[in-house]
Amino acid sequence: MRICVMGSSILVAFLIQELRKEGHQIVHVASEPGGYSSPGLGEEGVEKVVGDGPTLDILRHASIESADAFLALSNDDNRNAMAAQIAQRLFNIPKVVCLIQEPERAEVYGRLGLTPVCPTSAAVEVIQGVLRR
Amino acid sequence: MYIIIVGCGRVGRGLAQTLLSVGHEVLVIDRNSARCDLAREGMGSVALEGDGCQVGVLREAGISRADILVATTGSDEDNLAACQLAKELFNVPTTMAIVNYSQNEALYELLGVDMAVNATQLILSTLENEIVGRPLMHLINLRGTDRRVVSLHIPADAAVVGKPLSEVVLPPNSFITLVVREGEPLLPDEETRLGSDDEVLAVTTPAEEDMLWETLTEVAP
Repeated sequence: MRICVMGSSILVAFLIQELRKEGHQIVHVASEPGGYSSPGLGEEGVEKVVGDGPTLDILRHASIESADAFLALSNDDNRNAMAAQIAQRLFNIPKVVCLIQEPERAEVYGRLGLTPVCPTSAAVEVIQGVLRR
Repeated sequence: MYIIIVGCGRVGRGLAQTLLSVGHEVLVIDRNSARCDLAREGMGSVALEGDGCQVGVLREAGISRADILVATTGSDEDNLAACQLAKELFNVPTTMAIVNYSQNEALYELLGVDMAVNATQLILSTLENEIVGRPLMHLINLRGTDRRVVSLHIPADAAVVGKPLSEVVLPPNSFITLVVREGEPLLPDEETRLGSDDEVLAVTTPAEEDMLWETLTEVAP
């Protein structure tokens, strides 16, 4: 698959590494200056798009229309939500995931037809599980 | 009405002032404490410091009883998020937002913002109108259609001057809605004759705009 990944974090760096092992073609939209750099993980062979303009322009620049999947994983919930909705509603990308930190907001975007991933809820669940043991 | 304004920059503060002066209940939300202080100085306790895109902050603002939410931040991502949360989570009847980048206007409408105000477009229109030789000004895009309202100046030597509107053949999806003559608005009918230096407000489509302009400004042979 051609997968477009937006964000610069340790999550993004490790995810790209794993997805490449599975043979996917990756376009990395690194829109946050000063984000996590990935020493040792290697980005050779990954197409990289760097931009700080309007999200819509950056996604066009990354040729999002030809992507099979779009992953909005930046550290900004609002940016992820908007980018994911652009990908889904304007470009009809078949698989769209967005990272939303705030649990209640993640639910809202789920109702709006997006596939949100909420690291907060996931971490809380793990921690509660440990404490209940 | 109870109106929540997210973003307390010049637009947000100005809007709050106007709404308060006509008797509405207003709360502005901004992350920046200096901006909140500035609002409080002039208007009393109308500011809440916080992120207007966070559920908890919106709840603290009493959003479930708000009639309108207006998002005026400089970020389209933030404006869109505030409006979508207001609508989906708290059933706010009306959401409005400033569009900072023109290309996001269609997205706002697609995603359910009730009124998208394209600030850049409004400024451009105003400037456009002041530039000699460009007598067609975009006033507003009609929501949910591809129609727009434009304003045109009828030159003194135009072929249409003196003709009744029934004899002026406009493009099929365009029509004249108002004629402003010497500062007085007139509701036009079939018999209205266009005069030199009239201002005309017309509804048209992007495809017909040039044709409309030619029809109304073409010089008499």
